[in-house]
Amino acid sequence: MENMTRKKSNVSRRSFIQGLAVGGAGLATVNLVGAQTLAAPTPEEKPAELKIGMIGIGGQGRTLMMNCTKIPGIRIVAACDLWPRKKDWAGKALKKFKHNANTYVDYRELLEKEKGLDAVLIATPDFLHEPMTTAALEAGIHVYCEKEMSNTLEGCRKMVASQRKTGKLLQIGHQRRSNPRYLLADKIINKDKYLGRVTHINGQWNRCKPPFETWPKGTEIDQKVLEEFGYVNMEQFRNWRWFRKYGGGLMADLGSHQIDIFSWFLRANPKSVIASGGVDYYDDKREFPDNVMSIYEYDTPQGVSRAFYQVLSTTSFDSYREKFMGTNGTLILSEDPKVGFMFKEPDAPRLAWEEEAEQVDTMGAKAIELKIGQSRQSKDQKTESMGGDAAKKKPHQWHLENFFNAIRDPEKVKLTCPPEVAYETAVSVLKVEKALETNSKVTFSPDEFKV
Amino acid sequence: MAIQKERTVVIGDIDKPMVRASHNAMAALFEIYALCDDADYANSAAREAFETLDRLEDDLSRFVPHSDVSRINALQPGQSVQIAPHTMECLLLAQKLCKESSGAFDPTIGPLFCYYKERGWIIPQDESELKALRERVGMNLLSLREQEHSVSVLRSGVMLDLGGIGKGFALDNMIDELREWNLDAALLHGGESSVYALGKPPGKDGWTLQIRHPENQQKSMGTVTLCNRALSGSGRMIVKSGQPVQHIIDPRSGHPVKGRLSSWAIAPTAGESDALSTAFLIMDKSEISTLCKRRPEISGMVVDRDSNDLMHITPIGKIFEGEEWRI
Repeated sequence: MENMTRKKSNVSRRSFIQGLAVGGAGLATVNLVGAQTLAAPTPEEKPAELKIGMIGIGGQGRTLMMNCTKIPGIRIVAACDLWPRKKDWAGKALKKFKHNANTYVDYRELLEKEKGLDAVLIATPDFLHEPMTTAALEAGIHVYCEKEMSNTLEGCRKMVASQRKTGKLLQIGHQRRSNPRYLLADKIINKDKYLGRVTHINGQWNRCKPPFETWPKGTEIDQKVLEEFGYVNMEQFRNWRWFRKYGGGLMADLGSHQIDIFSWFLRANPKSVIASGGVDYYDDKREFPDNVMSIYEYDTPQGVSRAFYQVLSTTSFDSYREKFMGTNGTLILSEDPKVGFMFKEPDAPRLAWEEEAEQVDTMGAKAIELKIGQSRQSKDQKTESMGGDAAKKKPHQWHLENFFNAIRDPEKVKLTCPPEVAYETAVSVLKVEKALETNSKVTFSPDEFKV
Repeated sequence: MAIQKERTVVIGDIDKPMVRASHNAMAALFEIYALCDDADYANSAAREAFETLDRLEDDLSRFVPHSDVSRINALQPGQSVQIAPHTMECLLLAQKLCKESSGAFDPTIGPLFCYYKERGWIIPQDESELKALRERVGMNLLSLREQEHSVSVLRSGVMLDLGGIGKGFALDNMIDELREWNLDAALLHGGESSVYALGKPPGKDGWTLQIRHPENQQKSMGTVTLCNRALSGSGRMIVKSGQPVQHIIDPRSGHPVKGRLSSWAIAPTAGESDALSTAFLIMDKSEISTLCKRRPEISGMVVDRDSNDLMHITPIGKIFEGEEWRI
């Protein structure tokens, strides 16, 4: 059976319990001890080798590349970055890994010269996603492209069109869509309905204080090259995330990962958004707000839900997480596998998995300790833990594997984030700029999400 | 200029603007002191170095469930796991240093360490208790396949812990990043125990580091001056029934180390000094001396307390220019 499908079906209540500590008001508390010793990984069959090209070796490109080094059957044959410093780093790192990759400055040259590429991974500033994706798809190559899809909806639409025209696969990098912990949380919320009706969501990403970046003296990119690729200068190249020309600001860089989950779990796109934010702290050339607080309203199949989302670049406290608040319980989830907690309302019905959790305890799963009927302090309830299958791979690895497996077997494996899904998220996220600009409530029409 | 303190060393006076950047990783505080007139420039450099540090922790820490080390520790014989290039590099270095120290440094010591920790560091009367545990210890239980970048284990229950080399290895990788920034000079330390001196402050032979006394934090053991070299210190002692016992186990005997209070190692890289300072806590002086003769770029110092309660300070190895142990 195909890899991703198999992994999905393995996502049981038990592995949810391994992946999240669960606390209840005097009902049940699960503490996890050394869960990683539980299940031994099954030896993987040797998959067909895929030849991969990397476009963009900045922070995110490096993450994707390093994730690929852990995936059997992936050979990186080419790497490209406009900045020779990063291009050379990639060449050197891949050599250490016994992959002799050709390196390029210009992605067009990579696409032209590299024959037999199965896919490219694109991790460049948002404004380049569309031209690069379109060029690769038209060259007959599958594409994994980082989110935000584009910094303009026009760019997003072009990407959808290129994908449809070429019929090649296009996966957008909202990697939580492939993460077993999120897939399981979705099941708990939407299939098992353990939280009751989810009336509110609270999401955040706090990150302390990203500096205005500089670069090692003498490593500047030639000004002509910068301009050819659309950059004003080296300073903007290094700090593209803060400029409208290249990116979508903190809401697109960080918020879009989580706002994507809101729509996914609520089974609805937002109806309206209000927002507040600005460049309040930094006194430099940054264009995008250094903090945004927003409230989205959703008409879900169960009724109205409201979601608060904040992204701050002035504090790192409490970092990144999403809190789904329902009438029977609250689930806190994060891509950080150490963060996961479920709270049950005292009057909530007893859950089926609680029985299973007891059984697991008597079936030799020493990692799980159940304490029934003990009244616990809230600090005890908030046990943060990890473990199980969901903790065995890095967050991006799942999403990359979904993409690679879909290339190998498109009949059995479907992409978890095809361009239409990412488009809806881009509409939700990019609209916040308008709410900030006009300082008013901005509404969405259902047609806006169609592409 | 203020004197900055950390556990192993105190940095001497430097008459130049110094930018200090710090970051928490590997359950320790990492700091970079950079000599640079432009604070923004130095901070950007430091940020890049710390990013590298975080990436390494994500793969090398046994406390991170998706790290390469956790994946290796979950292996059963017959299974293998594909790991990142930097993890392979660190494992190969660990393997080499294990061999060079005749097995004194061994990152698979975990099962024995846990045993002693649970039992209050008392050597059992009956050695057979240790036998099963000792079978799960040894670098040779890991099979590293460099070409396929994969690792397998020869026995189940291997507990790899790169705590004795990871911080130093991370410092070396951070240094690689910092070199590209051409800072005048920089001093890095990680986990309060390993220091790398990059370049030298203007007008000086190197960074002068003061070594703290193992039993009295207020007292100095002397100074050492380093340039493009690394220094690490080891030694965490507890007192059990009036007897000082080290928190360090000799993988060769399976027993906690006795009598040695502290050890230091100087080496060209922090990965080496980190692992060797641990090894020097375990090896006897003649063993250390043999190692330092074979690897003349390495030197060390050990402090022992003998049965008459007398303290002995012994520098070992070739003394470099400006790098002598001034005690």
